[in-house]
Amino acid sequence: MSEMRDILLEQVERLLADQSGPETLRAVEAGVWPAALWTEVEALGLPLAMAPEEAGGVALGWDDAVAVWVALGRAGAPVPLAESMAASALMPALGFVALAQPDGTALWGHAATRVLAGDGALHQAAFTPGKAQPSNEPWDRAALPAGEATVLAGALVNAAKMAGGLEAVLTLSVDYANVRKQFGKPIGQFQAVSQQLSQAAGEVAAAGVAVANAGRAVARRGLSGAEFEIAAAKVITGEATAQVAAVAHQVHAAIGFTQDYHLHFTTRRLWAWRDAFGNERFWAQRIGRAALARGGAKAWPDLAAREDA
Amino acid sequence: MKLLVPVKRVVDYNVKVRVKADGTGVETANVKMSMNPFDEIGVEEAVRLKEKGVATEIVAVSCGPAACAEQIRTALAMGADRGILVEHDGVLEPLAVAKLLKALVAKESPDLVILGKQAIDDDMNATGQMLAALLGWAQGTYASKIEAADGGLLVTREVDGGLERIQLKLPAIVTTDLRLNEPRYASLPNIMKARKKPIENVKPADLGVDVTPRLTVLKVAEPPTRQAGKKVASVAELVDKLRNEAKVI
Repeated sequence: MSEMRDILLEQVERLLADQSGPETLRAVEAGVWPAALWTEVEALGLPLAMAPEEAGGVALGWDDAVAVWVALGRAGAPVPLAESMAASALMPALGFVALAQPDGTALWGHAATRVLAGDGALHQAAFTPGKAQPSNEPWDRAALPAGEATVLAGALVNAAKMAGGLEAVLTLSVDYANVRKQFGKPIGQFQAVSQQLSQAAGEVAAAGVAVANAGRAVARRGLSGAEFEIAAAKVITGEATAQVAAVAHQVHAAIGFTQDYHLHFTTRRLWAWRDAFGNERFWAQRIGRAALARGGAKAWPDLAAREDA
Repeated sequence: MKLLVPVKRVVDYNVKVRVKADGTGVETANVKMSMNPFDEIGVEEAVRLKEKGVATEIVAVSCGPAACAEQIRTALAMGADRGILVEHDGVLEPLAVAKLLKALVAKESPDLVILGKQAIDDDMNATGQMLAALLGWAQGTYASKIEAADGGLLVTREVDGGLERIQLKLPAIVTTDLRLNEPRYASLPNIMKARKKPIENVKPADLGVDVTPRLTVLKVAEPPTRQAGKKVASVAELVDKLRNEAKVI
């Protein structure tokens, strides 16, 4: 699938490069549904990609889907495509299917044809604006059945988007450090700055590996069989977000806070995605509880015995 | 009408190209590669001609390493029917590619070959013209519009100072310019279908073509860094600097 994945990613990245510039992101933050972009992603057959062929999809694997979600994160994900793909993998349906958190909030809920709720069923719901998020994306709220049917998929979606967003933030920071001069040379040549960027690069690489590993684990063992890998990916991307976003803004200094510069679009989304479907504390507790349930002392042997996904 | 559409694997246009430390070329290891954008326009035009009922079969061709199969697959996902990979790991100069394409034309007997006007890696702008010369076929270069007319083609060319319309008899060579069309995105179902379309693998020796390079690259270097501009306080000062410092007026 690698060759086909590369072709798919090339098409998705081209589409996002063409249609998800700052104007689109600003419009999205003002509450405007990106109808033109959504029409294009539907024409590409992406929302239903993970559904089986008899339901109109192509049975795209979770590992390939994760690669697409990373690309969406890199571009700031102006459409809730990752959420709709994951929802349609669990319950295939036409149109934009939102993915609800256990508390009934869903990204772009009010624009959805249907919503996959925590009980694992599709619903048509009346959404109202939910709590404001740093990303200014519309996380809407509705009275939906509670449950955890969407938690693993939602955590993987947001971890993947974070891995992509982190890559974008690192690239912006390195590029800026190479051109911004102080005391006669690029600031990236000062050891303190290069050290920070090196550490950030390590975090970004770890996040990418954790997310790809989780995608492969789900492809092999299904969502419930890959809970540990998903939890680890959400913890690692969440921790990386805290560190990399801070480094990026320190390196950029004032310019990083201006509306016209792109950095804030991504860092604000990273902060929102970090909390979506459980932050690192939520998922670390799950890993801890699972270890305790095994008697505590088996945590390391269990970890060492895990097969590489 | 049968179409042959060559597609070249090049460094993606979004990548900032870096020169190798030893000055022998540009770095391509671990760099994102894509189909040459002008070739992508060629594939799109071929698919549109097929959708209009003008063309009956589209054969996508790429010459280069095995990885070029990815660009052929992209062409197949856009709508080409089958592919041919002329596999060669070394340097391929435009004349060698033109000779390989001439051999493929003899084998496939297409009515029309649509190439990009140039590749964005070496900017040679030569293969289409060389192929036309080797075959003795009519050529319509820098095409911004292609129409079927009177059993041939009416090609609108972008030239300095305007547009030129020429009538071509078939078989012919057309090279694409930027404004010919806007290539489509390959949809996911079509990408999956492309997996099942055949790609034939041949070697230059199978076609009886000697691809030994005739040129030697002496050195590849970064362009010199641009110097910062100067601000002037008045038109008089600007004119003075243009006359006495830049010596351009």
